Amino acid sequence: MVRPGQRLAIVGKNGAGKTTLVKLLSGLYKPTSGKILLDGEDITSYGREAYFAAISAVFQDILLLPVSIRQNVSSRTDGETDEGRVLQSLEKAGLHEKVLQLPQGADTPMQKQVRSDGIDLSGGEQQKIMIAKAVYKEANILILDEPTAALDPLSENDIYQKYNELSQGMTSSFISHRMASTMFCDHIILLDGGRIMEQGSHQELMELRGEYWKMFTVQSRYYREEEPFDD
Amino acid sequence: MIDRSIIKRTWKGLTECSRFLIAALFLKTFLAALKPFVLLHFSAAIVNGLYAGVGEKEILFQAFLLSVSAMAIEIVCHLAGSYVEVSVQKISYNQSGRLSEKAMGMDYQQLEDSRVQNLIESIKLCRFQRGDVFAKEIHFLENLLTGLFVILASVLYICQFVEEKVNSGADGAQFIILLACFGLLLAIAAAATAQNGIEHNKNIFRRFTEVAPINRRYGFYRKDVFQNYKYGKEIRIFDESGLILDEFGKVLKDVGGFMRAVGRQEAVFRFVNNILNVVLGGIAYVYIGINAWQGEIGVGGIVKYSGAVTQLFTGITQVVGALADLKGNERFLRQYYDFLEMEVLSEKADKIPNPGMVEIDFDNVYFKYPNAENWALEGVSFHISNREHVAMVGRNGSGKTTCVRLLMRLYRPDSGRILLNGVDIWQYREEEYWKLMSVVFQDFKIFSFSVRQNIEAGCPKDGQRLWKVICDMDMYQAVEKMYAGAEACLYKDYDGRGVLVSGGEAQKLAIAKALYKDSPIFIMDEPSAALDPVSEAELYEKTNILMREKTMIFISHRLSSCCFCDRIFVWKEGRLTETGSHQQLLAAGGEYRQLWEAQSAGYRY
Repeated sequence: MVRPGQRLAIVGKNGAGKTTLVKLLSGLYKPTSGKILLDGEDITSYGREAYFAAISAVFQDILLLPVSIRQNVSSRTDGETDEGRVLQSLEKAGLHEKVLQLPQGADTPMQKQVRSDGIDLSGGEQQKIMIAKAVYKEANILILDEPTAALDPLSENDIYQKYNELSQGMTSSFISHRMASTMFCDHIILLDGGRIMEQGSHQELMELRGEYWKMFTVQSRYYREEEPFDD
Repeated sequence: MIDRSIIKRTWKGLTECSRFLIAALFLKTFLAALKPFVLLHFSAAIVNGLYAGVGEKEILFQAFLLSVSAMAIEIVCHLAGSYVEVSVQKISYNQSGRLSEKAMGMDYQQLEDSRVQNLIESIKLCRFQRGDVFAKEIHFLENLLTGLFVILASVLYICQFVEEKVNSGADGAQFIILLACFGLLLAIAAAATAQNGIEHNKNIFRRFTEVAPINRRYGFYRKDVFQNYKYGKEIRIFDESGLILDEFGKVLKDVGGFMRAVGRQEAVFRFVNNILNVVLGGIAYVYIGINAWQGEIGVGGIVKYSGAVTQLFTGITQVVGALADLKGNERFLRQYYDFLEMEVLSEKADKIPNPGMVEIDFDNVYFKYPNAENWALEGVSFHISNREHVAMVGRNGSGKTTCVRLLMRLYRPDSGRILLNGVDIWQYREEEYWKLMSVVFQDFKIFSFSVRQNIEAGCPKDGQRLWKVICDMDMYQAVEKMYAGAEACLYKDYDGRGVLVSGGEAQKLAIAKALYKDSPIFIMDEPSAALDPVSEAELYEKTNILMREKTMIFISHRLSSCCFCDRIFVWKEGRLTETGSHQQLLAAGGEYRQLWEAQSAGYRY
């Protein structure tokens, strides 16, 4: 159960079901049995479009259209786009400067292999566009599935720091293999083989000394200067 | 006029692929040409017979002959035609295979060059828009042969006409003058058709060049959006249908405009041809009719001979059109041969490296990607000793991956040298050099083959080793569970039962592949990006043990990997800014320290 405005982290081994869970959450899949409730109502009763309208998601695949950066962020034609909001979203995603530096700014078309006047941004920059797109929508629920996989430590940290800002007023879920990301979340769920094995706050789970503790310790070990890793 | 060398090369290629192609083409076209005349002949006989009041049985017999011969011709024609069709398909696959072979054998750097890319793009686009270039060539040749046969047959008939006229005692001189006039008209009409055809082909080629960008956009929406199920997520969640339909609408409008222009082109072309056809046919028909009225030829002759004249003109149009088309096809064939015959840039390189020792040196290397403005590598120099483990870190675009690509001989440095054991790497024989490297790329690809084929990847078969690396990567249970174990196909492209592996599992298979090859140099570019913390930790431990005897380069954003390495190289904007051990660099307080602080902050709460 996730409360309004809460930030949920979903962790677990490869193949544990994290992406499947968020696809269910975002209404893309339907549960085989059981129900998903939003504000106490089964989400299927909301009607597909209405439910999707409440969701914003950043998945692992980078999918961009051969249209301008602005339109890729707003997912709308120019007539229905709020320019100010586009720039704000780009700033929250950390791509504002880069876009302003381009000769055509936010008008610059993307996908060079399709449009000869288009540009190809780097993997990390493309991921930031996907994040800006999710921010632009100003939905109620934000879902992030490994949104920093291609980013270097500084860019990644940037996103984490901005996460507070990004998820302001939204209920959000964050999937990541980088356990450091859980520091921004209120509630953590650990999945294993399609089941919730452990859940609680970071403190609670660390005290539990279970699977979560193991994963966190294993990864954080390298970052503790006091314990040099031995061969 | 027509480039003979291209015709020769093309024919050689075609007949190599399909021995009886020429014979089948001749047969098909001969029969196709014969058909209308056979019909004319028997029709004329029937009309004559009716006019002369011949008995019913006789007429029926002629009709019977008509049907039988028409059917026989049709059947044999179709058989020959099928053979030609199959050959066309065979040749089409064969040639596209040659293109792929060539692309795979080229220098990677050459392949990425924009000129080569444009050529490949152009060839692909032509295939998509107008069909396979060799299929077209055969088609045009068929038209040419058909046209020639038709002309031959019509001329024979016209000779018959002349004979009949002469026999009926017509005025020789007048007849010859008339014939000459007609011949002249015919020649003018032929020339006009030829010119028309050439203009038409030129315009078509120009149009196809113009449509290329429209086609790219169309293809993108069709393939990468509408047919890509992954895109469905974005469309639903972000309600992108409005934007996509708007954009696609623009593409369709452009396509519509293009098609209308081409259609107008075609219409004008055909109109001119048809007018010529009708005018000439009309004149001939009138003349022959007069002759029949005057009793100089039988009534059946009207049908026969006017038909023959129309056919003659059709034949000429066909021949002229085919020649224009063949000429037009030349530029597409030339493109194809240009690509196939592109020189492979490799120098005469035949040194063989010593796998027992690996000393790598970069000596003041500068490199810029093709068509890029900034240097990707600027004045890079370093040394990596035998069995050293080096980690490469730095921000996106700082040069880590580029450095490794140059080491792998995918690109050539613009200046400076790269040495292996003191010898410039470009002096080694290509296959021998690459044998030294086991690589896991950042954008690794798992093919839609079996697990075993993906891991073995061209190395000799070894069942034991296969399972050892599968176990090493902790994939034993996952693979064993698959419907055919290690023989199970991955992804659903070739087998409906194919297994869809997760991102992390795919990455483990890619690493297993590198382990299987077991070369002295291991290069891993972001090998744990999709792995969970436990798998990641296991990977580091394993590589540490497994790679004891190897020289290793590890590129990663996860600085935790640096602890395993002897030295760390820190890259910034194409330059190597810091090198040293983890402790040394932390103490130095530079770029590395900054990256470290940013990443470790989350683990200290």
